[in-house]
Amino acid sequence: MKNNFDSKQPIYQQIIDRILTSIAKGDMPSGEKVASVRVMALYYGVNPNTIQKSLAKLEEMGYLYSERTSGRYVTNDAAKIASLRQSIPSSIISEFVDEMLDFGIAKPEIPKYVRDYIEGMDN
Amino acid sequence: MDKILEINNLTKSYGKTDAVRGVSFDVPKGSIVGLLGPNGSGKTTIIKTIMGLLSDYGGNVSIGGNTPGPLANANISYLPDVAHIPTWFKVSQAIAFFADFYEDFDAARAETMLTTMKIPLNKKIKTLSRGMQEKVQLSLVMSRRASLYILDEPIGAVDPASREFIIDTILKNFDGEGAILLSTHIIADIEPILDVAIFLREGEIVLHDDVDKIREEKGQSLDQLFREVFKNVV
Repeated sequence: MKNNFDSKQPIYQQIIDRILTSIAKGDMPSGEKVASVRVMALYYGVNPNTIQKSLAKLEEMGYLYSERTSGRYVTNDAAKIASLRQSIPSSIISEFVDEMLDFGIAKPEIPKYVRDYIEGMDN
Repeated sequence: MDKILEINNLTKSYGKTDAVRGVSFDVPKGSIVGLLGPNGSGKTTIIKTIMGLLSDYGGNVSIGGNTPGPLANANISYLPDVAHIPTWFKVSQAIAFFADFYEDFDAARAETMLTTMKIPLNKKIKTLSRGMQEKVQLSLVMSRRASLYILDEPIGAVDPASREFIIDTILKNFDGEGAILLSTHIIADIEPILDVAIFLREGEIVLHDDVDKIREEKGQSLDQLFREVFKNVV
């Protein structure tokens, strides 16, 4: 499959997360037109209704906006994108820390694992 | 939402065997509904009833207000679970056949689709591989502008690489004006395109819900849930 979705979360939620990441990274720059529902459905290999739902939620959240006839665009609100950019690392970390804790590694030990790994990367 | 198909308390027996026992569900306009269950759970019997191929059933079936039969079938594009196009036809003849037969058939669309899949139009269908034959059949079925598409095991015989192609073909041709009812026992590949899942066991519905809701509430994918529910059956 072109896309591996996590089995636990609804697919529309996972698509929202991916689009938010693209917006935060600048892959989808502010003011840029968003691809049509049909194109995105094919890209992600999912039902068009799922894409519709994801885009509608993103619009509700203010990350996208609609022009009456020409389609959807990424928000021009630079402050909003900046705060999104800041929120993503903490959500990545929270997932990582949860998994480490779940694996039985105590909180104080986690930074050491991270440090060791990063030092190892340069070699 | 408009209902393209409504089934109320459908029952069907073959002799002493009850194949379908009190099944009710709707297919709303713009939706893709999956009829999921192991072999022998009643999927094909339900589909054949909708297509007017089985009489002597109990309950009500309404396809846009019509009961099963020729009038209803004019608006249904049906992919049976067995080959339905004479295999001595060349692919191009099969296209012409569909064009003759169905007013809502878009021959240009079928040709484009088949050419993109690199299927030779001048070859006889029986000389093609099984996977290619399935692609030909699905392309023809999806090239009609019907209000209801019924696909019985559309990915049954094809390899995983072709499954993606088939799913693409379904999505490309699904415009939200119609609806799709598809049956399968291979859930994982189909899961991302379904709105609604109906699990069938021994002719009864054991689960009927939005796929997103199932994931949200059960915290597992449809495929995992399916394996759990049918652990002792499949």
